[in-house]
Amino acid sequence: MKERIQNILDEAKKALAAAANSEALEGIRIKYLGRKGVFKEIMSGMGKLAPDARKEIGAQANRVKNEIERLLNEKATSDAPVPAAKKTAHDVTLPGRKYPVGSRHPIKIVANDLKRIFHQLGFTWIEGPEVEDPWHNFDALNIPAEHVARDESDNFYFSDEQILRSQTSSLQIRYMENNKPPIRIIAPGRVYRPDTVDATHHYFFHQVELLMVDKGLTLVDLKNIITLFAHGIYGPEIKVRIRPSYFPFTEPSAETDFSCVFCGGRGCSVCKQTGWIELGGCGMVDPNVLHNVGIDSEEYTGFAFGFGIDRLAMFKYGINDIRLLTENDVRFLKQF
Amino acid sequence: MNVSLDWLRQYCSIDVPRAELLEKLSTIGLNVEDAVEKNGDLIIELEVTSNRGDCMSHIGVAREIAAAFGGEFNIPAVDCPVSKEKAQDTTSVEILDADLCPRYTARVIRGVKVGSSPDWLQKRIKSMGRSPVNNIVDITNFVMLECGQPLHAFDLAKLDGGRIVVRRAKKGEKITALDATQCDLAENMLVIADAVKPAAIAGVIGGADSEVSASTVDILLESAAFNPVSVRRTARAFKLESDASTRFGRGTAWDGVDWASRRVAALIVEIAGGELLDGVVDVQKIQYEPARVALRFARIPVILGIDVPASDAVRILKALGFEPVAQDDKRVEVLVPSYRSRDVCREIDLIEEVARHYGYDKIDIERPIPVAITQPRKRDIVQDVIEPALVARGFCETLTVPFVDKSPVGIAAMWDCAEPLEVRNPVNVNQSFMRRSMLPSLLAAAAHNENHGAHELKLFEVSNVYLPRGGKQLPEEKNVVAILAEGGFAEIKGVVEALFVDLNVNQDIRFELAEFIGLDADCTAAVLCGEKRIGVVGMISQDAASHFGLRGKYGFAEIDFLSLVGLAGENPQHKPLPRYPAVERDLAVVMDDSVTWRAVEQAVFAAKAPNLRSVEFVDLYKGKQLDKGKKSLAFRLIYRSDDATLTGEEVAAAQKKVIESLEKNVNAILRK
Ligand SMILES: [Zn+2]
Repeated sequence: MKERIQNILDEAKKALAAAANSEALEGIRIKYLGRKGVFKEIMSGMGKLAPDARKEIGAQANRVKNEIERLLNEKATSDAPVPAAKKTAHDVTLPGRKYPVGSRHPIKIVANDLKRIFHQLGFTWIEGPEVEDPWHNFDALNIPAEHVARDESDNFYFSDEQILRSQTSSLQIRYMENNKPPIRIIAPGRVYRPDTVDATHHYFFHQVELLMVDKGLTLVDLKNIITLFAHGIYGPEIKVRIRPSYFPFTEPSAETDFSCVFCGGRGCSVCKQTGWIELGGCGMVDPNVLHNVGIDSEEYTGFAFGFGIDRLAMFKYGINDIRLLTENDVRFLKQF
Repeated sequence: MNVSLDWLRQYCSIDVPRAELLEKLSTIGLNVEDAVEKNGDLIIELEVTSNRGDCMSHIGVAREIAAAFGGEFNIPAVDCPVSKEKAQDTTSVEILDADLCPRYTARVIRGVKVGSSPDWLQKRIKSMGRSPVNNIVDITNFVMLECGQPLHAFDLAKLDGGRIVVRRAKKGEKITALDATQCDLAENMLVIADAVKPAAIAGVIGGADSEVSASTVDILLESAAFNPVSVRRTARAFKLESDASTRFGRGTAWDGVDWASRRVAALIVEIAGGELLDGVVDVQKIQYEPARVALRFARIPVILGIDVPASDAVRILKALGFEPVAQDDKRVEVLVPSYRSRDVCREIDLIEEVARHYGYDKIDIERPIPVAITQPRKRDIVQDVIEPALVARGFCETLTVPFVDKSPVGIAAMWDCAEPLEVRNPVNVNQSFMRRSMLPSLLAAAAHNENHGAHELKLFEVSNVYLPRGGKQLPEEKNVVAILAEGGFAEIKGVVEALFVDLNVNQDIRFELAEFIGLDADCTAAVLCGEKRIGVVGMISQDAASHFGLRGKYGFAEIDFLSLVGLAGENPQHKPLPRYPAVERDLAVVMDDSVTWRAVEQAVFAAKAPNLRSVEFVDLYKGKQLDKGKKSLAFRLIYRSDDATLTGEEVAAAQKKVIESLEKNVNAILRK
């Protein structure tokens, strides 16, 4: 190997001496130093060598290569007049090097938006179990044994003692069992309800539950918090309205509507010409719920607000089929 | 629930434009889903919340409208001549299962003429999208849609013994329902039986045998109260959800039982002729008392944040049927009407009633929320490092459903736990278990993408695995960082190691050969910190790959997220930069193939060579130039002193110690 490299040098010197013009010089350059040249070949054969032999041969090859390069340059400048080779500019339109680019899931992006907004409003982010007992998912939330919300058609049961939570409201109970007012929390989570899957329904979806308990809180404060949230996520022109509804764990209860972000409230196909988009449920925490976690409802009041993340993400990104969110097709995922 | 505007006008006056009426219905909690003009009438589709059984009727909705606009509200008077014969002498009712039927009434009408209904009745039935059947059935349906109480008419002649027994079904009993459904009754289902056999499934559907037909002459009219859960469960078991079962399923009004029965009886006599027997057989198994509830006016602003004049509050409650029985300037006490007995029993419930009709739109005051400061928790900070780091390295974040099939890889577990949780009512058989590892979820995602031509897949998800603890304890829900990458073991291990760097972990993390279902036993490692296992990294096994039909080679990692949070170094402390240059020396040694890189590293440090700072793996070689069972490892040693530039002699002396240690500890031979 060492000999072969030495021979290459001798051969190159002879060729240089014989070269009469710039074309000939360029031929030599390509033969020894080009992309498919002699040295490229030597270098690529080095992998077969033992590590220390590789080091030694590598060093020798480099020396010879540098020498040939030096001689070429010398000859090119001394053999005047050789017309300067016309230099072609780099093709700057060629693409750059490809770096790997991944993607965030749209649900996570929206959840992070919410986190940011509610952090600004002084809420703490908490988690809790998805597999729940009937006490936290039902009884403590004022959903007694005979209530329709406990039916097997609305809940996934493992046994009579264990179910998948059907709402993030169970997190309220878990938090209030261990923390005294003032309370200001936001609890995101995955929830489950048997439902026939179609473009707008899934048995697996995401909710956020907001809970505030303190002295002197009223429905007025609830509406103000929701309005601040609406402005945080969609801007200050968004209007909020609440209308009566029913949830076992709040009393009074309300549905929350935002003025339609797509038409500014004038009416469009998204809002079914009503100008409003239903966002989620809210209400004053039911006194039974406060009682169940040992909070005196004469002294403290509170409110809760729960809404779906999936729909927010679908609105934000114009996603028209909820199934795309859990299909995990990278052609979809890479759009975000 | 659909209501007809024309029909509603029978009970209340409506003199506002339609648009205003619809808007009002929504704002008092009867959300209008749709409103369709039909034959000069307006059919309004209302979303009635599950607590409002009373609004599953025209009278209930009319009462709300009257309260909202302050107009008149009238319930038709019921008056019907009776014969000398007494109902008690003709039939009897026995309730054997009072827990499922607190009240059952029977009236008897003799000598009816079954035929088609008069036009006005047919029009009402048709306006609700139902087909007229015959005058008797149409009347019971009409009254149910009118007041919310479902009723049933039996052909008295078809009832064995001419009497009613309300009981749970007996083992093996069957009934053919009105719609010809064959029902095998279970022992927890309530039936309305005669002396011998079931004649109807209570609250759900009548039986074909005792159905009113053209030849029917005498009728036994049922009006009763049933346990809502029992009715719902039975209706669902037979897929026979009906107008009756949805109303019983929400709970009906105690006082409505008798009113509806009299109303139907009077209409039958009027339309189908015949005679109503005197009296009613009314068996009541509980003593019903209307609840008496007090409202302190001062509590209204405490809850609503706005003042509502006491006079307005009392006016609203009265209009909704709450009868004031005591009042002073601080409070009012009311009796709750039986149609609201299920959802109004406390002061807070009255406040909601007041708020609903006073107007949620008046709750519109700007009031600042006190400022509060929150600090992000360490787990939030760590998550905000991990996820963007993986995205930057080319990984797509997935969101997988945690249900898996019961194949070995489906229920594979990377952590100690009991048998997987099984869903009693799964969406489908392939999704009946809760995952104990992210492996099956990410492999399913990879398979989906391979089938759509994707390659070089890189997926990750920070999510939960569900690890049962056995018994009645709730499972541990372990939050894990799961990563799936096409490529070799070094790829996936490199991703995990990079996370440790991202998180400034400075504890010693070890990788030891380990076996897990779904992963290749020769190429899988437990990730250890001290004695604690914090994760798993390995190549997908052949079995797992073929279960999901995967073609590519994939590495998988599952790391316990909370362990990462614990290990993450907060605020790494600055160390001064080196003042003297480092010296690098490469070594290549040959040794038995079974010696691990970790053992080599340990042998290097065991030499206690002065100024040795670190050792870096460079290359591994196995092959022809070496004896069988041997390998060559090349690595780089980095020496540096804080006090001076190292001399060649110092480094050579240190290298010698390293080489000796390697010879002694791992039987290594320096490669020449
Ligand atoms: Zn719109």
